Amino acid sequence: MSEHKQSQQARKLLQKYLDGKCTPGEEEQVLNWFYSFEEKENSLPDGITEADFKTTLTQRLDEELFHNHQPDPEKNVVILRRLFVAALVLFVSGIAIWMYLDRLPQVEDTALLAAEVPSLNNANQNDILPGGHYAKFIYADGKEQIRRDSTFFTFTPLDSHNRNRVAIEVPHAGIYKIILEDGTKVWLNAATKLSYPERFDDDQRLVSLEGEAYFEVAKDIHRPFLIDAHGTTIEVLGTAFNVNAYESDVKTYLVEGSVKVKKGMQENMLRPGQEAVVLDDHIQIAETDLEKNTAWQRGEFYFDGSNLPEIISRISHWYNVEFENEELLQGESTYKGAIKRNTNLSTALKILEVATGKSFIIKGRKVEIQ
Amino acid sequence: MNNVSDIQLLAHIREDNRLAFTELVNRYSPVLFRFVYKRTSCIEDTQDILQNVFASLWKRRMSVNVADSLYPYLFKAAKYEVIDWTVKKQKIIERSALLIETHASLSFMHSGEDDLMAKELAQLIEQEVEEMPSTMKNVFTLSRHHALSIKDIALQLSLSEQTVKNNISLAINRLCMKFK
Repeated sequence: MSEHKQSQQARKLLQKYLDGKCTPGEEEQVLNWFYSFEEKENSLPDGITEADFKTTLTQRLDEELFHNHQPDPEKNVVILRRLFVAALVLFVSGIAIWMYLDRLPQVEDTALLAAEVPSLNNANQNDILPGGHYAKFIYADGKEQIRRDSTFFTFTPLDSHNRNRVAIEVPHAGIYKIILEDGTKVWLNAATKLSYPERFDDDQRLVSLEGEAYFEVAKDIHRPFLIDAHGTTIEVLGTAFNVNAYESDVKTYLVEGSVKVKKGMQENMLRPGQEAVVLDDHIQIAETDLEKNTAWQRGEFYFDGSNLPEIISRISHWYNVEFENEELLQGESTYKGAIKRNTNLSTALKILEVATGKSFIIKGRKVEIQ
Repeated sequence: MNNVSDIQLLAHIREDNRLAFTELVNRYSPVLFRFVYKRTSCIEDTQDILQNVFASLWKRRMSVNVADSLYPYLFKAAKYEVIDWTVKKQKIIERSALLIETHASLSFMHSGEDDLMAKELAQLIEQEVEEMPSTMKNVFTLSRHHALSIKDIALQLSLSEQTVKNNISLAINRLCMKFK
């Protein structure tokens, strides 16, 4: 029997099942077919994380169930999205790309990130949802675009001479991933700005950073990759590392490959597993805890007992909240571990309560420590 | 909220509590995503199917009848959506040979649907363990699969015993909240 004919026959049986008209034997047959996929490979496709689809799903459900103001919500968006995906896939034919796009609203709606929601627990005034994918692209001609998908691919024709710079701003409670023209992947943490040219120069690839980003730089020995962060330059050939440049004490954590950190007249090479911290005009090199210092890129908060101030600042970036009475948090904690960032604020704080013995109460966008 | 049982969650959802609904979506979407994705192999369609499953739960929140856990309800709802998708969208139905009459006489199985679902669920739980933060995963695996004591685990991973205890209870908490 031809594949097509076989499928037609199978379709009839499935329709019968949906209509509730199967005999017990037929029903067993359908169930047997349905559960025969159980042993199939369980993993998600490359580049898709749990957090990505959770965010998309939550946003779509929110739209469908709680904001009925959009005139024709689902159909057009789905079709447009598919067309767009198809176009992209054609554009880079030969390369397998997994991406899915959420709708691209043109209004700024950062309010939806880390939204305040009612609390189920009487101790808090309210709860706060985790942050999500969000980035504002600002182009050389002044045009702005808001994106809420998880990843953006830069496509610039090879013969293009367009050296215009693009700036991406990720707000508090946001996170975003971009793949640059040369294949370099950059994960941008909350409250971070990155600027890059639409097409890199022939002799170097220069970007500038404020905030925090994790880089996987594509190898290109002819064009070193340079990051300018508050006057510190990080020079790379091809490697993976994290740069924390929220403040002027720029910190670089090297995962693999090698990078050179330059500030003023001083320059140092890093080996994998080392960190460089720039203090004024001096660079300090030390062994580093990579699991801790790149935790955000894996979607985790990481506590090791001695980094409470850092955790507090990461939590305030991600949930867009401010802490009160921070001075109450002194000394070290014996607690060590990681929790996922895609959890509600109240859950993250519960762990901190265990770790510090203090209580944390959410009041609007403030967290009171007691 | 994480410690709230499905039944309590559903009670809050019936009072139109959107946070409780979000928690439910977070609790079940990873496992349902894999369940559906295995059968569609298409991310976009899997998203659509999950959206239908959860949206219809919200719309029917007053009438849904659940004994002690929502997962059988959600898995069955997902099953109907997947079969509906297969009928409407899949041109060449995967493994259609299993649905053709001549195979009907073969005796496959006489276990009920609940057993089949449980078997698949067990496998999906394994995946959840895989996705835990690394310390938690190591601690949990050593504790459950290799039956090591807290002391041995602490020694092997150079962690304090308190850390090991904390991680085990966090891990169990995670799984309970997802599969209770």
